[in-house]
Amino acid sequence: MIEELHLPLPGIRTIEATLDLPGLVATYSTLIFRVAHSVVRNRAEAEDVVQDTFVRVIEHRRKLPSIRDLRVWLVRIAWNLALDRRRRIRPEQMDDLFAASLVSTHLPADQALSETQQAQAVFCEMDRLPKLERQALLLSALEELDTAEIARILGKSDSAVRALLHRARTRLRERLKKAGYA
Amino acid sequence: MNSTDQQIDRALHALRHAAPSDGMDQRLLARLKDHAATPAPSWHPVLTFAPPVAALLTAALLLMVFHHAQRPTAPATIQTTAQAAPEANQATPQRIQSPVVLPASHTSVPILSPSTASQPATAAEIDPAYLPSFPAPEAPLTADERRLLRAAQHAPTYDVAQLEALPEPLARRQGAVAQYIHHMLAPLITAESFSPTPAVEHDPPPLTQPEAQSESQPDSNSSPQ
Repeated sequence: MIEELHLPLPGIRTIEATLDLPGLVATYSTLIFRVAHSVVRNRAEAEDVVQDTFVRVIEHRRKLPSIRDLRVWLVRIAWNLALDRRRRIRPEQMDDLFAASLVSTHLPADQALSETQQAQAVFCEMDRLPKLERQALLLSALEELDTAEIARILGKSDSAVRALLHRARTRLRERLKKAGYA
Repeated sequence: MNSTDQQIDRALHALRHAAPSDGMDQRLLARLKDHAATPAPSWHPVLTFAPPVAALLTAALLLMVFHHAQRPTAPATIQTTAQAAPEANQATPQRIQSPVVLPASHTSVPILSPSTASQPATAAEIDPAYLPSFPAPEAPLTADERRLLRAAQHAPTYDVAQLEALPEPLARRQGAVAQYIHHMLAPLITAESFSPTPAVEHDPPPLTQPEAQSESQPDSNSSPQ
């Protein structure tokens, strides 16, 4: 009778066995990298954010079975970690190299410099957007995330996300025109 | 689409196609292997510190109780009401039970047993004449009592009401002066007792002034004889 009533409870080894770390890294590392890179705009810093994100996953591996949407959960962690890391690095450290990498190498020097300055101005104005508008705009740039997933990440409805995207583009366009980059 | 929208789309496109450097997954797995080897914390951080804190508090409490129990106190002799009440009901009140000597740890409060506490004792049942009395132990004299005793022995003329106001050295000094005067006058008092001197009647001084006035100023009213 006692053996029949004995229920197999999941032990520590069982829970650890459910954490397929190589599979998680292979599946989500590129998405997490792009989320982090949209915030910090630096490859090395974005890679560190990816590592910190998976460290959090290991620390909370007991909660993993209760997480409904692992993809949204990981993007939220990566976004917050990227924001924390971005406060510790200078804006020039982020934008110079990345903006220069956007410009074609076949252009003349003066034209390349002008386009680099325009790209830096766009990123600078993106950073000045309100928090939710900026987050919606940057997450919409990632092709891995649709509007419904962005809405779950932000904790908003789909229509609210679309409104945020519209307001963000309008505000960004106006500010760039005002700065003379139209 | 104007140039501003083109700039925005170009920036977002660049963010969309940002690719990690080669071998990022392998580097990540190599670094994360150490973290995965460490066991996951099974306790909440607050609960981790709870057992040591509880142990420290328990030890402090035990130490305090042990220290309180070892404090030196004199054994007290008390008679509980539970013992006194039946004796009051007995027909022979002369048979008084000997008082109970409790150990030092039980000196705080007389404890009534529930059976005795539930029985109400009326005034008629407990006659104060039959109850044993327990006078307070003799206490040392206070400073005022010592001063009063000394004044009663050496300086009987002292006003007791002034004792409170007089400081002790002044009272002692005045007592010594009075004793010295009493000692010096003792032979005179003895001699006076053996040969008492007659009492001298002190007449009032003669009124010389009117006589002088009468000598210097002849009475105009008196007739010459």
